[in-house]
Amino acid sequence: MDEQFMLTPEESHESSSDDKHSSTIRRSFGPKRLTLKRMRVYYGIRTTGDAKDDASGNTSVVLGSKEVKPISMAELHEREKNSGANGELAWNRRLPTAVQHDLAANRAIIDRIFYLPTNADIVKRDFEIGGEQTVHGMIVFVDGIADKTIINTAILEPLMLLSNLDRNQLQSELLTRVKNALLPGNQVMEFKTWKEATENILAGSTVLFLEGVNSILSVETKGWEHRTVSATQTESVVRGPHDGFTESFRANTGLVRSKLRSSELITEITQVGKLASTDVAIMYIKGVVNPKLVREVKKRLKALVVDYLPDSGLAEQFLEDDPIGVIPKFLSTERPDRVAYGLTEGQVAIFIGHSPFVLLAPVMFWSLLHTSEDAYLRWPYGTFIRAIRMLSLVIALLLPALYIAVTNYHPEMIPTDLMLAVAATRERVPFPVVTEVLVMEFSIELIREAGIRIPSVIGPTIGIVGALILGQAAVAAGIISPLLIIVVAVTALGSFTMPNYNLSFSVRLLRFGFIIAAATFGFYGIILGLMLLLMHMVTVKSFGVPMMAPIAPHRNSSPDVIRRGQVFQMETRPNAYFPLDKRRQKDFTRTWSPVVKDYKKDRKSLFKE
Amino acid sequence: MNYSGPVRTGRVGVGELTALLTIYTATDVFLSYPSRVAKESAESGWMIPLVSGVIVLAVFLIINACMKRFPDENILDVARQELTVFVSVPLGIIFMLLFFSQTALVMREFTETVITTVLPRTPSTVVALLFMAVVYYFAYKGIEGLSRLAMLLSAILGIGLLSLLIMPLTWFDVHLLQPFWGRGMLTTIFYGGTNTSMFLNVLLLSLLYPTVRNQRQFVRVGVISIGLTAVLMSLVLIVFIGVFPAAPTGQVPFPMYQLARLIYIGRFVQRLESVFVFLWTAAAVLKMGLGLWMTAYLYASTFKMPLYRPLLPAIALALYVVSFLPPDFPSVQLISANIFEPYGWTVSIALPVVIAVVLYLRSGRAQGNHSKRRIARAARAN
Repeated sequence: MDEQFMLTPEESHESSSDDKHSSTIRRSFGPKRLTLKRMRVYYGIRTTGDAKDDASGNTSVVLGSKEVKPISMAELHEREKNSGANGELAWNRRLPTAVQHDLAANRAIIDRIFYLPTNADIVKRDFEIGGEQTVHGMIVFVDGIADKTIINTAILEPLMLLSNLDRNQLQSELLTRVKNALLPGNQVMEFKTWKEATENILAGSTVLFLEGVNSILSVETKGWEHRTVSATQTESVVRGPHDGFTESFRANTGLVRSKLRSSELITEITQVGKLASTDVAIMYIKGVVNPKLVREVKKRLKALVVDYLPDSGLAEQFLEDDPIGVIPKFLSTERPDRVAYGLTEGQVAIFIGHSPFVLLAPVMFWSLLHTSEDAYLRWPYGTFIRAIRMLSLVIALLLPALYIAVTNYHPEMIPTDLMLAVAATRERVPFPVVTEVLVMEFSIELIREAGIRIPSVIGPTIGIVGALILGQAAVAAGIISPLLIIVVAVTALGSFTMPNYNLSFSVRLLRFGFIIAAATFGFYGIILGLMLLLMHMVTVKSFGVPMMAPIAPHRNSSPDVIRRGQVFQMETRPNAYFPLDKRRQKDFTRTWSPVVKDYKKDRKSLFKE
Repeated sequence: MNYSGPVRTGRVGVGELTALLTIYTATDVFLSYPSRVAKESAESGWMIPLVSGVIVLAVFLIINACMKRFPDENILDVARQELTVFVSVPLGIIFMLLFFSQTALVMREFTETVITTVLPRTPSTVVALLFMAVVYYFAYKGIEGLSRLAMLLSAILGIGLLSLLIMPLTWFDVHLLQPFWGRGMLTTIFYGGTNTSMFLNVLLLSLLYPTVRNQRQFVRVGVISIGLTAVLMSLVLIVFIGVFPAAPTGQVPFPMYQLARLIYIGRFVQRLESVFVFLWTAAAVLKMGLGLWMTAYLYASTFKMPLYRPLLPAIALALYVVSFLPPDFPSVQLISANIFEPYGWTVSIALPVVIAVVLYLRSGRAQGNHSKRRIARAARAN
């Protein structure tokens, strides 16, 4: 883009924002008032005071900024062609920041930006806005992500068939009239720069250019194909909502907002990515969330300068506190109800583009073991399934290691009869226990990995073949003891109960560590490994919040950590998140209950005394 | 770098510190402490921790009363300002050596315990090396991590210890606790006095004073941790003396291990000693982690170093080497019985209280000194 002088019809009240790109020198030329604008325009020649070589090494024709000499368009074009830059036109070298007045120039820039006509996705549609004196216009959109019905009925039809514009109107008035009276799209925004124009086009909006107007109108026409909201894939529950996030940014934020109808719920949207931008939304409840937390999230997102951010899984790795540990530091969830509840507790939700997994931060380790069903069920059932899950965590982590330790190092621990039975089953097995365990664990990992990749039609068959037939054959062949099959199967079941996908990975990885520790040092190895793990866990943080809170360090909290308490006892939000508003319900939410009535009466009389 | 502030440690909560101090002191019950006490005082051995507890509690309250004048500063910092470095440096070194030698001793004892109980054919150097690696990581994470882990493990350790005490009760005979005064009341009180060496709570508290987040509850930390330790030790001794007759108790090298071995509740619940290895290993790692951290922290703060972590590798190596100096396990026990127990209290109890009283008297005489220091501190903070 170059700075140059050109004649334009005078605008009565040019908006001040335009001054960024042009400075006006008012001069009179003949009978009609024309303004000589010294402006950065797309076509033109270099008007810098000093003759600098450009990147290609060619010296451009330079007009001293003081020697202003208007030239015609044709002459300009000719000069450009002959300027020696391999016949390359000025507009092929650098792109301007501002949208131009001239429709032809804008069209050329669009061609340059989107590499038309090589690129077949971008649609340019020229038309004339109706009336006696037509005004030329052009819309640009990306085929496939813009809704064609909206474009036809809400942009082209009203403009081409139902309008009557006066072309002698000033450009700002023209634009305002089109925006206010002729475009029935529900979201129409005005922009002036190419950056905004490009982003809007790529985001699925349709951008309208008008002849002689250096602004664009962006009409919201997003409408690409995506999976409809369907049941969650990884966090299914029996009791509770079944809908999960899908591959649509706006549908995802909408799902949360529809559950949490509060004017205090704030969604801040920004873009990440230099090569291709991805929408990133942070959602929080004002007045509940700690502002320092929101600042920290924004700070980390701002530092995230990458060319492309395809999924929340990558964002998670960029944003987490301690990248070395095995414990996930975000709660990535598919469930809108989980996000809504997390927000009311003082967490911040991070939506990354069209990822169906939303990140909740900060997170405490215990939340990774919770499901939303724990809360929807009555407290004894909730506590029961939670206890099962805690137990299954221990089983998934330690059972194979304990089996190795007991059989190799501490056989005296088990009663003699059982020990003899174990020894009898192992009699034919030629390998040490650790080899057996590693072989079986590896097979289970194979089945699990294959189960994900195998086409769903034959998946169950492979499951049966892998798990049953292989196991049975291994026992019959005498390379695996039957007891070990039970151990490995229970361990696998235990790790499948982990409600968080990331957590189940960390458990799987750590299990192998414990197997090695047990094989080399028995119980002693397991305990030292466990102590190392626990020490790591008590010191690791998620957005500054210790992950083992509220137990270590101790923080006040409602009875919702290991057991699921009664819902009417949960008066406070988790203190570990340092929420601004600590209380979430009244002390007495069952005032009609005779027990509560008596209690309140007693308390009152006690205070009187 | 010109750094004049204290070594940065992070802050710990009241509950966390209580748990850590209780575990630190009570871990001795997993070692030869019960057997030594039972030997000294026979049937009345269980009173000894209680007597020690009362004495230590009194000393703690005296120190607390004296140190109230110096909030946010530990006894070494105050000593440096009030009594010059010629007092504070030797004092720091003495305290450091106490923690260092105690940790080395405990490390050796635990290594021998592990070899005797669970890994009889593994070389002690390997067992100790593994211990050292974990302890190093613990000390590296510092008081914040140690105290949180203590909080996390306190419930598990408490339940484990109680079940370890309840399950051998099938062998318990209350007559073994008679005569009530054992070798006599004076003997009991005398040994109760010398056994205060085991209670490093007072010294730890006077050194960790500035790390506590809520200093108003500082007294609570001290009283609860000292009281709880004394009660736990006493309970262990009651069960131990009530299960084993007084005569052989002195010869049992690992009393808790022997108790665990005795467990027989039907055919399926028996010989659970391996399970309880979890308890003492967990407690030992915590204890040694704090010991190593204290050594490094004291060294750093005595010589006004800004960080303690760079010291850890050297101190850990020294610990490893020193722990192997005694030729065998009986000599380790002898050092414990003949040096630490009779004389340890001079450093762990007497020295802090003397220093605290001296500081109290001096600061009372030099009026306004404290307020001057407070102003200086505020200026430094700004």
